[in-house]
Amino acid sequence: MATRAHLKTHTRNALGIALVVFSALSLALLLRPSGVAATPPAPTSPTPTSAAPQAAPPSATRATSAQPAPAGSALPLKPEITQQAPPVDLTRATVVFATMPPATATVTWGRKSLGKITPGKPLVVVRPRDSGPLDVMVRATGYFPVQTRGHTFSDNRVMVKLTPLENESELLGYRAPLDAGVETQEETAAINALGGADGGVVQDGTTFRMVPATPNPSPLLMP
Amino acid sequence: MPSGAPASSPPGADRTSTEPSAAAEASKRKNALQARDDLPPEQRALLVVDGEERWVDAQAIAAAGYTLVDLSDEWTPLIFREEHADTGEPLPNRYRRVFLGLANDQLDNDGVPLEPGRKNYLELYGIFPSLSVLRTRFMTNSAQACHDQESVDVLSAVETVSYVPPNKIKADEQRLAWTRAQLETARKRAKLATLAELAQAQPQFLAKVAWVEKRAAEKLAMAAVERRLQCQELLPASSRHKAGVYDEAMRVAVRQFQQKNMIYEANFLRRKTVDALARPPLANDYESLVRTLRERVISAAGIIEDGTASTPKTPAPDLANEYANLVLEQLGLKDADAALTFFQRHPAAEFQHLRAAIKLPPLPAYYSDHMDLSIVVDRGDVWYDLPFDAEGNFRLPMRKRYPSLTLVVTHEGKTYPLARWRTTIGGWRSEQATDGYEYYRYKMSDVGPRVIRQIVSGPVWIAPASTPIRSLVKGKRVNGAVSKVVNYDELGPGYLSAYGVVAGYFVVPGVNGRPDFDNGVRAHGSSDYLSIYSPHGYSHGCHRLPNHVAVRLYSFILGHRNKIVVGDQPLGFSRQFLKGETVYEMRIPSRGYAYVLDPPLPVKVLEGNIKGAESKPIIGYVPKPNEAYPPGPPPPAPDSPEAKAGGGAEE
Repeated sequence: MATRAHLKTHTRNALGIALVVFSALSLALLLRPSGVAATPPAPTSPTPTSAAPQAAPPSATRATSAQPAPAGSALPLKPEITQQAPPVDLTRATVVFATMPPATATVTWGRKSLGKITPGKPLVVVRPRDSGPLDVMVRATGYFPVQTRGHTFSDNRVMVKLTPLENESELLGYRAPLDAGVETQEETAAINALGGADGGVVQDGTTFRMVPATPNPSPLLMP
Repeated sequence: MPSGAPASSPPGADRTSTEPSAAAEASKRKNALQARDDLPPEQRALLVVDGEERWVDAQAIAAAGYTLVDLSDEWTPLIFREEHADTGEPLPNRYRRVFLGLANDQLDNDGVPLEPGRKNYLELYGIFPSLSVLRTRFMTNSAQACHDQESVDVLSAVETVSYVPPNKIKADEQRLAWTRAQLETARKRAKLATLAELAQAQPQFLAKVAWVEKRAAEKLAMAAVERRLQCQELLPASSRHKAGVYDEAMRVAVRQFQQKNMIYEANFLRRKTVDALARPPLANDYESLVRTLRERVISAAGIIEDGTASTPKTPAPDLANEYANLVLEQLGLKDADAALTFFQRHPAAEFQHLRAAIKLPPLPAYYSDHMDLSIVVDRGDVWYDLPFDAEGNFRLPMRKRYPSLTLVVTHEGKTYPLARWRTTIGGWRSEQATDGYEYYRYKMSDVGPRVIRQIVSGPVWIAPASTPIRSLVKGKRVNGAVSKVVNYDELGPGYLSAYGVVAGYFVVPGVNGRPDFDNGVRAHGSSDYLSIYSPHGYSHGCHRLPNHVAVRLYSFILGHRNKIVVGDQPLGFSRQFLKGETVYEMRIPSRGYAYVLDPPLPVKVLEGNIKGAESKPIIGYVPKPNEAYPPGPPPPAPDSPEAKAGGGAEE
């Protein structure tokens, strides 16, 4: 249902995406490249599913070039934290944490503090390669805390998008309150023009039946 | 070519036209059988001749028509083996390292070293223990019995052990005590010696006597189960289990026991579980060894037939069990004691490179390097009706015919089913709409002709935006603290992934240069084995198979079809979502390791029998009964393939 709240959300998301892309480009220029196979800044919307898998050309590069650590090898648990990007070392993985928008943020890994991200100065964490993922919490004042992950099978950058506390409704999973505004007449007309609340049905030869445009509401909402 | 064996002809398959002389063959065989203790481990194979083990030249014995069965700790099924591009460039599979670590009790699903003392029991998830791990179990269990005749007797006296929720124990015990008192009063009044006599003399007490006696027997059985699980360190003292209560600690211990012994049952003390608890630990270890060897010989011989394609009118071969029995027979592993002796004879270090030379019968004539294979999915009985009535009461539809997936080969104009497995189809499942509320939606399994062009090992499931948020977060111990994190178990790669350890993607092939159309349906492995075998188990549209079956299926297909190894597919996907007061960010660096079938594998999905009042699937979201929603109709349901791709919250 295309409510006003959703239209506002879509507009905000478009602006947000533009801001992220611009800032990511700026940050890429500021940061020194840190090694092979760095993960590009993550998009905020899913990449389209590739409908036709293509065989890779013979010269295609692969995501990992390091030999994996032998299974069961003893690995130190304590991460080393340095503010300078180390040279390429195939026995280690460099994980660079930064935020968008730039903010001062703390990064913790379980009970342990890994350090701080400050505007213009990302946090660089070096771990043994293939020592498992880094599930971290990024906290910045005025923003929702973000639980994210860095990988250690290769060097990678984690650009963490921060959402201000007042922009909760922009986030996937935000639940509109039960007393959200009733759909306006314009919105009803727009939805009906699309073929009802269920407009858009796969037409690939199967025959589906449309439900009534106004399905039975929950009994709790009956007058 | 079958994996696990060096380049050699499939055993016994007479697909060449040369007929070397009998004398030359005999000489070749004699040389191959000669003992070669001088060879390094990676060049030799274990052969048993007249009951005596000897090391022989692996290459020579394979050339003489024996099959080399890889028993080493470095074995993986074909879908995780090391591949190379046509240029010779290695194409590493990142999950191979994790797979080996899991099988060898060294790593967890994240690829992190296991905590000391922790074990992986993953047969139900398609990862069989290595022979080193099995050796450790045999050696440990030979040193401690964890088994006594008294326990066997009390466990054999019950069918199952009734489950009483912990919060109902007190009320249940009171009821039991009251009933017992009532029966005692009646027994004394009737001047009878036992309750059994009372039941016979006064049949109105029969049911109560039976109930009291059943519960008395179950109490003894429960105590025996506790002793066994404690002895096998599955129910440690630190678990805070309360004796006699089927509490959470007990449930986890039973689940671990079931997983260790590959028992497909809910986490309660039901028939198969009780039977396994009554068996000596070494007997159960022997069954694990048999299962592991079965997978190894299936892989080595490149077979798939397991007897499941048999019908009452048309028996089908069961090469899997036939060949497994030949391995056991030829290696002298006829029972648990023989297996223990075998492991005592072979130190742990030998399992780094161990291979066994086994004489197997010729393969059926329809075998070749590129077989005319296809898949048929029969949807069985299909109910489109809502799962609840107008009053909001749930009603679970009954099915007589369950969905099945059959692998078929066509040879010389005839079609032979190779294997047929129970699978799943879509049904009514929970989805999260854009308003943040959960609704029901019918998840369709497409009908009609499709192809599998791409197979992915270690696949990743990109949870659609409609996935209920609650399923995307889990508690996990992170660096010493329990934290809420994104549930990568379900996303993958890993055996708990919504796509299991391997998936084949059903697509409508593109024509006239257009790309294939992917509607989000796969046939994939699944850790949710109860959904596959439960009468009320459904998927979100995909066809689930137990992980070990999916591994066999796709390893077989890749071993017998022309293919292109694409390798790792970098993705760089991320998405944020809000749960509670925290934003979670899922980051998926790769789709998995891809193979492309060329030509693609034909698939046919049959409609099945449509039952109930609805003859077509209901489109869109349906509010759940007894849930509160904002005013107005539900939001429109997304219709993209991404929104349809498997997984989702369990409900």
